[in-house]
Amino acid sequence: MIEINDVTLRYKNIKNNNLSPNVLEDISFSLKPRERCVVIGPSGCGKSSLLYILAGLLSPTKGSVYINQKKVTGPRDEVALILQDHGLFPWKTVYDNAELGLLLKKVDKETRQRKVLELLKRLDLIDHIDKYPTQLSGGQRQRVAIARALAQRPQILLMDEPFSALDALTRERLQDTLLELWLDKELTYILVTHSIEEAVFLGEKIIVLSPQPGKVIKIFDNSTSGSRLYRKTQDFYANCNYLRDLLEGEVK
Amino acid sequence: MMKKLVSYSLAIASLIICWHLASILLAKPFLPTPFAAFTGFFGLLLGGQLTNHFLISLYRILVSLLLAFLLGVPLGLVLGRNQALDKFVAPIIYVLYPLPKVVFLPILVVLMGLGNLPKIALITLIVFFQVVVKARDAAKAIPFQSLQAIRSLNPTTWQIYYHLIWPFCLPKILTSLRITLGTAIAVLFFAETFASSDGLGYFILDAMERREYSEMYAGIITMAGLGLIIYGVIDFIEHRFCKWQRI
Repeated sequence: MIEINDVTLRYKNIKNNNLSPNVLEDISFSLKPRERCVVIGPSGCGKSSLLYILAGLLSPTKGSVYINQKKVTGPRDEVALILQDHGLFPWKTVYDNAELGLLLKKVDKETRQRKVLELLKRLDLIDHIDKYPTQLSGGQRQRVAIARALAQRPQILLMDEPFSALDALTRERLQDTLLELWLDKELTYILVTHSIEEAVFLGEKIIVLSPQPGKVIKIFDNSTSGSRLYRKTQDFYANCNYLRDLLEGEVK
Repeated sequence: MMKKLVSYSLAIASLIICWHLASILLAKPFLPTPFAAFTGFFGLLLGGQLTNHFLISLYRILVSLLLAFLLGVPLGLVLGRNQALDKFVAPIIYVLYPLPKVVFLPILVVLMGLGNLPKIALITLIVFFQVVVKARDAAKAIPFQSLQAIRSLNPTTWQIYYHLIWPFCLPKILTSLRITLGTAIAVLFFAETFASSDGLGYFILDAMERREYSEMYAGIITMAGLGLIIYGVIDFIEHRFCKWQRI
C-alpha cells in the first residue's frame, strides 16, 4: 500500500542553489494496509521531513514514494496529516476547524455536518463545538486535529509528534483513543515520535532512524502491541529497553 | 458595554475640565470655555448649519478608507505571499511610501477639479500605502506550520487566501487602519481648506477668518466626533469579523 524506495533528501539553499548534506539517506520500507507504523529517531534525524515527503508537501531529492501504486507528487485525498502543534486555526471554532478538510473538498453541508458531529461526539468534543482553540486544553486541541484529519475518511493517517506537548496521562489517553480509532476506521497510520514508550505502544512496525543523516538502522517487528493492556505487560518493558539500547548505541 | 461607556465618559470629562481651566487662565476670546463652545456647537447643530459639512466630510473619509482597503489589502496580501512579485514591486513602494503625498493636492485639484474627487484621491493614496505595507508584512509572517496544515488538505490557492491568509492578517490590517486614521483626518482637514467650499475643514477655517470662535470650536468638536465615529466603525468590523481576538 505504501512503498518508500531509496528516499534521500537534501535541502536546497534558495540563495545559491547549493545542496545541504543528506538529511535522509536511502530510506526504504513498505507498509501493508492497516499496518501501524512508528518512525523513531533522535531530534534532527529528518523524521518530520520524511512525513512531509509522504504527505506530498516535500519532494525527495532522490527516490520515490508510492501510495496505492501511484507515485506521490502532491497532497492526496486518501492521506491526512496531523501536525505537532495541531495546525488548528485560532479564528475558527472547534466545529469549523474540524470541518475544514471537507469544506475545502466542497463536500455538501449536510454530509459535512453529519461526519463532523459524529467524530466530535466520538472524541468527547461535542460540548465544545463553539469554542475557539485558545479556549481548549492541549489534549482537546489535539483531538480536534484528529477530528479534522479523520473527517476526510483517509486511508492513511500521518502524525508528526502529535502527543509530545501533552502531559503523561493525557498522552496515554490519546494513544488509547488512537488505537480505538485504528480498530474501527480501517486506518493505516505512520506516527513520528522521539518517545520510546510511545513507539513501542503504538508501533506494530517500528522504523528506527540514525541521527544526521537519517538512515534506517532497524525495522523492528512489534506485532504483540495493539491493545490498551499492552502498556502494562513485561513484553512492553522488554521492548522499550531493547529500543532504548538500540538508540543509545547509535547516539554514542 | 457599560464599563466602556463609563471609561469614555471619564476621559471626556477630564479633557473638558482641563480645557475649562486653560480657558479661564488664558482669558482670551480664541479659547472660549467648554460651556460656551458646546452652546455654540448645539446651536449650530440644531440650526442645521453643521450637518451638511459633517456629512460631506464623513462621506469623503469613509469612501477613502474603503477604497484604500479594497485596493491595498489584496495587493499587500499577494505581495506578501509571492516573493518574485514582491522583489519587483517592493522598490516601487519603498520609493513612493515616504513621499509626502499631500504635495500632490494642487496637481490633483488641477486634474480633478474642486469637488470630492481630489480629496478622496489624496486620502486614499495616503492610507493605501500604509495598508499595502501592513498587509504585506502580515502575510509574510504566517507561520510555516499553519501553511503546512492547510496545504496537506490539498487546497486551491484561493482557499489558502480565504481560510488562512485573510483571517490571519485582518486584525493587523485593522490596527494599521486605526493608526492611519489620525493622518487621514489631518489630510482631510488640509484638503478641505484648500480651494474648497464645504466640509468641516472649510467650516473651521472660514469661522476662524470671521473670528467666530464659538463656531470654530463647534467645527473642531464635530471633527473630533467624526474621528470617534470612524473608530467606532473599525471597532465594529473587528468585533464582527475577529471574534477570536477577544477571548
